[in-house]
Amino acid sequence: MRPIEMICINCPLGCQLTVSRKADGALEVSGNNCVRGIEYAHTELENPLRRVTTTVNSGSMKVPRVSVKSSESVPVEEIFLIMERIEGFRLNRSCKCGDILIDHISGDIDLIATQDFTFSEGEVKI
Amino acid sequence: MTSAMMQSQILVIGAGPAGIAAAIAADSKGQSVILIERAESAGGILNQCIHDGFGSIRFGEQLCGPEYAYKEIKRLEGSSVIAYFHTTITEIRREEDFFLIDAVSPKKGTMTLKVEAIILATGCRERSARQIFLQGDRPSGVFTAGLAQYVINCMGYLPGKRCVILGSGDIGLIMARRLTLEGSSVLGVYEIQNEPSGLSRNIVQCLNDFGIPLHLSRTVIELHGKHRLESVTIMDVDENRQFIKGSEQIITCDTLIVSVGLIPEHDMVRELGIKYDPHTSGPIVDQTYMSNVPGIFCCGNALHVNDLVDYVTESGEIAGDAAVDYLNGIIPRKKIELIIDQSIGSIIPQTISLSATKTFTLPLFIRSKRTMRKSILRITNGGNELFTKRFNVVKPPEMIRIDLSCEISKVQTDFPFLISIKEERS
Ligand SMILES: Cc1cc2nc3c(=O)[nH]c(=O)nc-3n(C[C@H](O)[C@H](O)[C@H](O)COP(=O)(O)OP(=O)(O)OC[C@H]3O[C@@H](n4cnc5c(N)ncnc54)[C@H](O)[C@@H]3O)c2cc1C
Ligand code: SF4
Repeated sequence: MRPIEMICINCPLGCQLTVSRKADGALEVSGNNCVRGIEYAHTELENPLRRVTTTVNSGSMKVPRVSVKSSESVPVEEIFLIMERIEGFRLNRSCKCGDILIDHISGDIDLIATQDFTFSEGEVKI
Repeated sequence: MTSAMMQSQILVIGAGPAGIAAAIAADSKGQSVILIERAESAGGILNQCIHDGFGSIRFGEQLCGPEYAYKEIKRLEGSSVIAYFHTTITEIRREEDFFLIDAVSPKKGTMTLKVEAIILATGCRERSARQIFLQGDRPSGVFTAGLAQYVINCMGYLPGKRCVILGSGDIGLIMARRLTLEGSSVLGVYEIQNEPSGLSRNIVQCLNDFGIPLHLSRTVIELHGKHRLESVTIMDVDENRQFIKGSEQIITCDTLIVSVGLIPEHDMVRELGIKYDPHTSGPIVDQTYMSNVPGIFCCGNALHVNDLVDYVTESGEIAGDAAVDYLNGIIPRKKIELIIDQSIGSIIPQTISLSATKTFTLPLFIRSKRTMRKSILRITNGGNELFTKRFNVVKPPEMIRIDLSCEISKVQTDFPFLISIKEERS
């Protein structure tokens, strides 16, 4: 494997890490200023996790989108899967910040509203 | 139409996180507070920042922008602050020891407010494409990053299909990810400087995650397209930011997102005689965040551009508390200037007013001018060292916050404080 460059984001230092895999398969990390840099390189290479934040169609004209997040962080490659599942979704009801809008959108992960939204029939999108 | 006359001790302008914090702080000390916001609801810029990363200092968790706003708005609703939304201020006049403010709203019509202190919390605005030098046509398809953010997150439209991002500011980086998730292809981020101006976290999670290239020392110089943008010319620059001949390349795209910086917003008070700092583009203030005009305070992004909302809320609380002290007649005595050298981009506050207390502790917010490793920050006064702190690395995008504690008896009040950061030779 060619060495990979990455920036540790565990603290504001932002160490520039170089990671390579040794013959026995173990990872070798350099450039880190503390042990957390090594842990970071491992999760980033083996299973990087990210919170998905996006919006859903509210069904209303006045406030067309409602902001949402995934209940937990998900592997990077799952982000687009979740985006696809959201695409056809229409809320068409009121919700509160923290409400589950789609449960089990991916495995145990739910989709959660990050804002209050009041739906009124008069403003329905056609 | 008659104009309603209203009176209150403190007026806060702008109901973003800074204004909310300032209003609540003053209200909780028993002052009457009016909060005026030109938008229809509170929360400011947070409402369109749907990504996470807000509130880790204050709440110990990574909230999304609207969630942080939600928590703050709930606090506001629990206070006795009187808030007027959808209200525009048309004039501010300074009288002997009070201010008269004309405002208008669709619901209430015109009104005049009489207040004793004003806290400006109007946030910042974006530098536009016109403010940087771009040659060529003037087609549609050019957006500032914040506008693109509003269009996608609040209106639900995609600005374009093939996007180039100019400038590596945080909003531009966040928009690179957002556009990619929504199905646009982001061809690259072009930054004229030789280091990114956004946070490392955003470089990793917004660009690297999606394989979006970041081009340093390279910029867009020309736009092409009659009606809609069709392509842009990019060019490399050398260390002195001179264009390198022959490095031109044309990139086909329909959208250019410009993320080249934010400037504190206060057009409204230009005529009141406030003195501004060329480094922050906000008012010059002391540690109470009062400007040179007695009774006018400033906080949040209107004071200086912040990257962490936690510090914005803190600055609102400082200004709100201080406005109450001002009304109670606590007047600081002597002012000491804080002078920065070439190593530092900006500092808040720019002056310290000494009061009758024997000691003082205050937060200083400092931006370094460039990235420096193994460096030491020093504050001296008349040759005496007041403060030192070592840093493994300082970077311009990441604001440094320090608490400066001093015994006034040890300060030579006729000399300024000199602040510098130096790299230590190993
Ligand atoms: C795109 C972006 C991403 C960010 N990401 C993060 C992040 O991940 N983590 C983090 O901690 N921080 C982040 N920040 C920083 C932080 O959230 C902001 O700095 C903060 O929200 C600014 O608060 P404010 O109250 O000063 O300004 P604003 O939120 O801009 O509020 C100003 C308010 O004043 C009102 N106003 C303006 N002029 C007038 C007028 N004349 N009359 C009446 N009202 C007026 C406006 O309508 C607005 O509501 C980000 C900022 C931006 C822009
Ligand atoms: S390696 Fe350690 S010091 Fe360096 S950025 Fe990561 S956490 Fe910070």
